[in-house]
Parts: sequence; structure tokens; C-alpha cells
Amino acid sequence: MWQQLWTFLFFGALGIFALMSLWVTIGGYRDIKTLLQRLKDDTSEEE
Amino acid sequence: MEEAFSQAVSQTQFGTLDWIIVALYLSISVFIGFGVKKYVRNMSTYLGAGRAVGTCLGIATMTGTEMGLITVMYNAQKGFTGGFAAFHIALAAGIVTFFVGLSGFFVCRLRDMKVLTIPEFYEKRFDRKTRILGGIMLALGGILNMGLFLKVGSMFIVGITGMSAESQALPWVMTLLLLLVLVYTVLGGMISVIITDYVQFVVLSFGILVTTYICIQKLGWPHIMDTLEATRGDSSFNPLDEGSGFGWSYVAWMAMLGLVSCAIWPTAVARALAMESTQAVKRQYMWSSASFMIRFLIPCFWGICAFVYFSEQAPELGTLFIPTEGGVETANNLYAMPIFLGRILPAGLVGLITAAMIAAFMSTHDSYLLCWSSVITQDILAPMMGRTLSTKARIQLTRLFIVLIGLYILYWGLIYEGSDDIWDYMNVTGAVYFTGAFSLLLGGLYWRRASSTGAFLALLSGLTALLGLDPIQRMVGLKVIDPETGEVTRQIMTGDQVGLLTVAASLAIFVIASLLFPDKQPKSIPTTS
Repeated sequence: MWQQLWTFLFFGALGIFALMSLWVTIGGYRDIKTLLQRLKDDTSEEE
Repeated sequence: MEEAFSQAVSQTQFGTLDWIIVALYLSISVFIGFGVKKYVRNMSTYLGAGRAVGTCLGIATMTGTEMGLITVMYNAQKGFTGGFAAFHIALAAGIVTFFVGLSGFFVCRLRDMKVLTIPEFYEKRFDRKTRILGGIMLALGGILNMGLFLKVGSMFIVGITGMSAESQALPWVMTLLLLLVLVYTVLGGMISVIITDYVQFVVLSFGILVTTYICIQKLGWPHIMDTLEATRGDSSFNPLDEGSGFGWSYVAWMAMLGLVSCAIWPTAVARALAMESTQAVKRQYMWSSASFMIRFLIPCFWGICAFVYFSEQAPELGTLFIPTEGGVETANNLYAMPIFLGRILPAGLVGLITAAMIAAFMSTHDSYLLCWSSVITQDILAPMMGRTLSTKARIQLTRLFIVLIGLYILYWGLIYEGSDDIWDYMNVTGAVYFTGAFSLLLGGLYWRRASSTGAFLALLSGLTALLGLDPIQRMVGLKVIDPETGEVTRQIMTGDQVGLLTVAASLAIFVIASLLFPDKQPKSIPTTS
């Protein structure tokens, strides 16, 4: 029972992680551009 | 044994091409630190990246921070010694993180309050003295917790590159890595941390997927399972089995740590507080649950593969690392996984995975250094000094503490000689902070009658978690070791049992003291928008 559980968990998580990595790599690049643009526009000096 | 160890380490595939890949990666990280310095205008951008981080970047940075080289090393150690049974740590972490994302437990309410740190929440919900004590406990637990990061990370570099043949390699690697991290963290604050985390995510996710594929291809999944079954039996699969080295209390402790590492540990919470909305926080946690699971699962699997490889294909390493009953002393098993990777990965790829691991090392260090130093500045010094600290002075102080903490971890890495597994060392030291913090967050966010006296005493009770640390257990007699054989002859309580008891004690103290000493003017409980 434990062997099947760990096999399922391992390959399931690996598959999800592979898909998520692709999505985050592309989306993260877009987010960095937005973040830097926002920080560039922000002119406040103090809290 | 030293000669056999040097011989084993020197047979790595790591070559010139790999050094070039590593050097290229390190240069990019430092370049980012310089590049983003111009965006640092105030404390909000230095510590929280202006609260403008999108979902994908949030997932990347959370994964980058939480999947550090230290994580990879201690999980590989758990896999090497505990087999597949250690996978329960990953399962607990994944389930709990997903639940936090689904419910927004703790993190959404904190995000709504727009606090920069958890102690800041203590002041908003309780009072200033609770914030200062919370900051001290957090800094104490957190800095002790990262005390071995540098040493263990450097052990990976030494093991995979084969540097150990040269004397004094470890301290030099430690110093060099520390200097690089200090440069770009001091310069760019959270912005450079987040961007380097993203670069790390890309390199690391590609590296670990390819490495895992090679491990399975070389050893074969059914063969790995069969070898574990044959050598260690059911205890290498069942974490509840007596011989697994885990048991019920350990599994329960891991579930608690799953919650802590995603919803209470300040470096993870800092990512939630930097998100653009509570909806983004929820998405970030639900998706990151896969990363939280993977960060335990993959390194643990590499540790298992190292065990199988040493048992069957490299008997000289088996003799060196796998203990036998009444056998000779073995080498430090933290080196097992890097030596294994150094043997099976081809040139070029071994450089890439080393760069990925250095990336993991640096992204964890930068976040932790920034986190603890900002806690000392924002939550201990600034509240004590009132409004006299300008933004510029705060940034400068934070930078100074980054450097001081860096020097401390260099010193601690060289002198600490406890025999705990690294994961267990980190849990105990972290518990100094999180056992109290758990009570304060739970009570402060969800219980109207929580009082500042209860909060103050609950925080102090976290100190009892230190009784779980190996040198302290031996000092107070909780653990007795036979000086001749080095075997444990008596242990009254294990580290995980001390941890669970500390959580229970902290909650009990918090509730009783809050009921006995209520606040004269109770503050309102924040609600999620």
C-alpha cells in the first residue's frame, strides 16, 4: 500500500511541478516587467 | 577514513565547462543586485518590493526562497537514512499549504492589515512590548535556525565539485558564497531578492527535473523500490513503523511544521505580504503547494537514489557512508547526495545543477538575511526609538545587520558540533519563534478575548523548545549517550515530542493568561476583505 502511495505521490507531484514551472517561467517574466514599471512610476520617497 | 573520503569525492564529473557555467550564473546574480538598486526609494520597496508582485512571480519567489540548498541537503539526508518513509514530510507540507491557499488561513488577514512583518501585527493587535519581544524571539529563533545554512550549503559545493581533497576548502567556499550574497542583498533589498529568486526558479526547476529523470533512467524506479525493500524492509516505506525512525509523534510534528513553513515562517509570509491582493495570495499558496511538496520530495528521492547507488554500484562508497551493526565510523552522510550526483551526471549538466543549487543557496540566504535584519530594525530598534529613525537610517541599519548576521553564520557554521539531523536542528531552533507565533496568530486573528499579557507569556514559552536541541538535551540529562560506544542509552523525550509539547504549552499559557489578565481596551480582530 505504501509503495503505491509514494509512487503515485511522486509522479503526480512531478507532473504538476513540470507544468507549473512552464507557466511560472512565462508568467513570471511578464510580472517582472510590470513590477519594474510600477516601481519606476512610483516617485514616493518616504513611507 | 579521511583518505578514503577524499578519494571518493575526487571522482566527480565536474570539470572546466561546469566551472564556467557556475561563474556565469554568479555574475548574473551580482549584476541584478547592482541593476535594481536604483528602484530602492523607501522602506516599502526595500522590504516589500512595493507590494506589487504578481501571482507567477509570487510563486517563483516563494519557491525560490523555500527550496534552498539547505532544504535540498537535509531532505536528501532524510531520504538517505529514512528511505521512502521520509516522503510523509512532503505529503504533509503539500496538503497543509494547499489548505492555507484555499482558506487564506492566517495569511489573507495579515495581508489585509498591510503589515510588513509579523511583529508589526503583534503591535497592531496587542501592544508595543509584544512587538519588541516578538521581534527578539523571531530574530533569535531565525538566526539560530540559519546558523548551519552556510556550512551545509558549502558541503554540497565541496562534495559535488570534488574540492575536499584540498585542505580548508570548506571555510573558503563558505566565505566566498557569503560575500556574493551579501553584495546583492545589501544593494537591492527585496527587489533583487525577488528577481534573483525568479532566475533561480527557472534554472532550478529545469535542473531538478532533468536530474530526476537521469536518476530514474540510471537506477530504474522498480529497482529502487526493490532494493529498499530488500535492505531495510517495510520500515523504509511506512513512516509509522517503529524501525523507520519516525513514528506518530514525528508525523504529527511534520504536519505542524507544514503549517509553520508556509503560513507562520516569516520568509514565506513576507511573500504573501508582498502580493498585490488577497486573491493573488490564495492563488500563490494553492499553486505553491506543489512546490512545497516537491522541495521535500525530489531531494529526498535523490538521497534514496544515493543509498541504492552506494549499496549496489559503488561498494566503496557504501562502506564509507552506510553504517553496519558494530561497524566502523561512517563519513558525514550529508555528503552522500552531492557525491552521488557528481558521479552520475554528465559534464555540463553537473555544472548546471551546481549553478541551480548555488542559486538555491543564494536565494534562501538573501531572503533570510533580509528578513531577520529587517525584523531587528523594524520590530526591535525602531519601536524602542520611537519616530526618531528616518527611512534612510532604517535602510542603513538593515544593511548593517545583514552583514553582521552573515558574519555570525560563518562563525556558527565553523563551531557548532551537535549530532542532530540538519532538518531536526532547524525545527527545534525555529520552534523558539514559531511555537509562540502560532498561538499569537491564531488567538490574535481569530479570538476576540486574546490579550497582550497572554501574548507576551506565550512568546516567552517558546524558549522551552531549545530543550529539543541535541547539545542541550545531553546537558540537562534528557538524553544520555554512552561515551565509549557513542550510542544513545536513554532518551526521555525526542526533539519532535519537545516541539509538540511546547506548542501545547504555549497555547495553554496564552488562553489561561488572556482569561486571567484581559486587556482594558481590547483591540478589534481584523477581518478579510
